[in-house]
Amino acid sequence: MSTVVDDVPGGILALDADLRITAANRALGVLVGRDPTSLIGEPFDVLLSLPARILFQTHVFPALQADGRIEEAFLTLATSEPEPTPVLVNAVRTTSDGVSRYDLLVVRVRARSRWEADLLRATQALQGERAAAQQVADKLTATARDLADRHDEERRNRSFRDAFVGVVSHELRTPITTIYGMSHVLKARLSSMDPADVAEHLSEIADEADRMRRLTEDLLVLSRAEGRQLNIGSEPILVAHLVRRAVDAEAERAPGHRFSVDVAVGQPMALGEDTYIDQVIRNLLSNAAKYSPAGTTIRITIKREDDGVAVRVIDEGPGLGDQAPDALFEVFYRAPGVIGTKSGAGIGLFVCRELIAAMGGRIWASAAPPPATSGAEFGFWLPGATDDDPDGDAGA
Amino acid sequence: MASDVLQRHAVQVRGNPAGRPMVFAHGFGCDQTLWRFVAPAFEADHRVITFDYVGAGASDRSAYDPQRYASLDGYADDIRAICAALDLRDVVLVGHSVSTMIAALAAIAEPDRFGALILVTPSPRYLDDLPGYRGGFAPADIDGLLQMMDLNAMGWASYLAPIVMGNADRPVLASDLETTFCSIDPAMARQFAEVTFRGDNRTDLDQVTTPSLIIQCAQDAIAPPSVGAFVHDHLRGSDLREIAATGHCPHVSHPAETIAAIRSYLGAHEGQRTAGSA
Repeated sequence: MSTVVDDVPGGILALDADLRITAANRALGVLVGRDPTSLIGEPFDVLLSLPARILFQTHVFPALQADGRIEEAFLTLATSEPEPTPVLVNAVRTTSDGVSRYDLLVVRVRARSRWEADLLRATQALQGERAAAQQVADKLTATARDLADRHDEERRNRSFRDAFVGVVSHELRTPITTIYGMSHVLKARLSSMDPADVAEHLSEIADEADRMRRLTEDLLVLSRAEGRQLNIGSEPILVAHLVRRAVDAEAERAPGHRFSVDVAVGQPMALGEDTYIDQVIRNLLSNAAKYSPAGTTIRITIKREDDGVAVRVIDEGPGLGDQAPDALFEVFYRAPGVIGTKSGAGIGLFVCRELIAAMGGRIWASAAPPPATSGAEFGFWLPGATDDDPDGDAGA
Repeated sequence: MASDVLQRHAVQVRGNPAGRPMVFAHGFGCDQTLWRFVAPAFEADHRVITFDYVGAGASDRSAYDPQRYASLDGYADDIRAICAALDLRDVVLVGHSVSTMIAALAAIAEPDRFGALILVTPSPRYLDDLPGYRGGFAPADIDGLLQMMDLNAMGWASYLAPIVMGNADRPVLASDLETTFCSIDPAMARQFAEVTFRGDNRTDLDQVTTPSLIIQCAQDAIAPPSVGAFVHDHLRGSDLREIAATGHCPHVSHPAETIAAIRSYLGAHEGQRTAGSA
């Protein structure tokens, strides 16, 4: 190489089409610690560190071949020292008579590369910080959403409580007023009253007290269900017994109705809690009595279905009409036609739904099954006990 | 669905629609444009398909999924998806560098789809596993490579540049990059490097049943001849062809020799296939 080229402060290399060194200046020899003439004929990449060989072969050379030039490729040279020498490489490809050659300028960038390495570390640290900040922001967003959710729930609970207190105080006041008034009349005029009137007043007091008792039982279950404290055991229950007992009690309260119980043979034991099943049955029976005219029959069927027990209470009343069956089980739901004509808090069916759901069962309302053309059916299903005793004493 | 795959990988279909399909898979670094010195030579007789892996070239870089590409299987699935989308049969799958192992994985997964593998400078493992196996590199070399790639990405070297167009952060680069054929997303390149150079596919070779041609360079610092011989030993029914070339990219530096090697292999086997079916 000429003196001028030799004295240039940077390594200069020429490679043939096969990437072998055809010329190298003195500065390049200094860079790699070898006599430049000894490099002639060697493959270029032996000058590179092993990592730089990969980068050169996989990225730099293909780009050089594709684009005809490459600028500011950062590579490292193999040296006798433990640390490789960082360099920047610019290169051009020229072709004559279909044969390529490559000219390379190689400049050492020790100071710059130290600075760049620092910059890289700083950039990576910054990315870490940014990720951490993003995490904090995400957490804050999540907390804010959580708070908003809780606020919404709080508001729902509050409006539920307000409605609850309103309905309940109204429903409790009516029987209390009656009991209070009747008992005062009896106390003041007992000696002068006709015994038939006394009996009627006492009967009214008893009826109202019974209504209060039922309502408070429902309220108790409801408050537990709202607080998600409903704790239901899973005892095998013979549902037919509970139904018979409830029917006997209800028949006394609704002497104008006829009750018929139809128990299919071979039903399994149901899983649940007897006091709660009892409460559901009583609610359904009193509902049926309330919404169907005196003189009609309320039919109760108990059958084995889907490895469980299905109980249906079928009345001969007006039926569901246009009401959506599922809406009947919502809390405080009152059928449109009955508000003001029938007493009730709109709690009973909701309580039934909560109890049946807690016992793993289903509850439903529908039109009475054919051949009936009117009337409603309210039914529930409970899972059967696993130590199923098909005979039991169901038929007894 | 099928067109999604083709768009995601910027798939190019050229050549003779009735010809035996050839799919060219680029290696680590650059993109499908590297095949432009070789692939056109086969267009007269073959249906020629080239594509970019997600993150490289004109692929849909937003589709890059670090979990999918945490192993070479994700890349092999991509090749199979492209072949399925085009309903290719009896495919000649040509892979360079790491794509030789990706091709092997694809052929193991779906042997009926692929009729021949052309493996350009293959290596099943780049790290040494002494004393029995010399891949050529130590773990520290790979760390050095990754750091060097980071520094190159930071220096905006054109071959490791982010998305060419529409990069609002670096508008100044757009004019420089217009002339750049190869470009690859730095994050993709980095993970591709890790998966490639820290992987070990030696045992996969024994499961390949597809006939194959190994093209080896006489002097290759990345996949030395001893590694080529290892691959030849472990690939049943493989041919080994050495090209008198230096480097790792004979399809770029010595396209004529590479074309000749592939052509003579396919010609010889075409005769066998015809004889076999007669």
